Amino acid sequence: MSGDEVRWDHDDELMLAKERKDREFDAQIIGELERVPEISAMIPVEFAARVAAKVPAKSRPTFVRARSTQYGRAAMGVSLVVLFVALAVLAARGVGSSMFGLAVEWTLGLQFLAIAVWMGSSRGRSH
Amino acid sequence: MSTDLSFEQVVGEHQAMVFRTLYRLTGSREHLEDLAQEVFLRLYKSLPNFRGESLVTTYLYRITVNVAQNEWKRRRRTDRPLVSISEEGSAWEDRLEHPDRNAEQQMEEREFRLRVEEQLQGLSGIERTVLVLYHQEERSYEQIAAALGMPIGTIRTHLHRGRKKLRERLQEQTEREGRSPCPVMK
Repeated sequence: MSGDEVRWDHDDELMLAKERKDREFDAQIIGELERVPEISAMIPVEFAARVAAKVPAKSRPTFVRARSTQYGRAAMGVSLVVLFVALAVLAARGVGSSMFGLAVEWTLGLQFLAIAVWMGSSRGRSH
Repeated sequence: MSTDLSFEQVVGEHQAMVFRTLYRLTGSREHLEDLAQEVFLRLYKSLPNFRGESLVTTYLYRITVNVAQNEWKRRRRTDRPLVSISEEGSAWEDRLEHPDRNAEQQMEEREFRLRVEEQLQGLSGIERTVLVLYHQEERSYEQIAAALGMPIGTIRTHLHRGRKKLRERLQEQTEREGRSPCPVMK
């Protein structure tokens, strides 16, 4: 066995020993970090009861539902009535016999229909 | 958790976790009870925002870390030296905890423990928090990330960095004081 080989073996041994030492050191640190501190003596008896007593008994959170206004809906209702009356008056006077009268009647009729459909669908969503 | 009784039960179930986490994070027994109380009162105030019982622990860890951070800031403001765990008595209790073991070995272990605690307090707040939550509290990366509101990758980085710093500083301290790096375990 040459001198170089002996030195190599010696270096390897030193390196392995150092690695082993480092591993042991790491394991010791991790062991300490994982150690759960003994705290039972630090927690006062009746701690939970005391904390709960500090909380106001009647202070439970309440949820207030915001009231929505119905102004738009009322306006649509009024519009429906006005359109219905207007259509009835136009029909009674026979305005539909002229081209212009017919166009007015159709326009009002379509508006009436659109408002009725909108009111019907919005009622469905709100319930 | 809508009644006072159930809140008391929640406090009872989680008080040990809150006390030991605060103890390790602040490194002191001082004001521990007040801090723990603050944690639970904050929890109570945030009850309406709760999404389910499964989140109580995560939520509590988050509050506990916030309360500990405030305590660190308060100490910095008042420029008070940290009263370390090592200086707060219990030496005799610790020495006598395993009466059958060799006294010298127990002393070495105790000294090593105190050195770890001391160096742990020297880390940054986030590194210390991640180390405590991961090792002492055995939380997963996901749980720590959820509790601290950080990405998992960041948690891994802090954990790795914290361990590395802790090891290096302990080694430096050991070399400075000319001691063996760790107690011999028999």
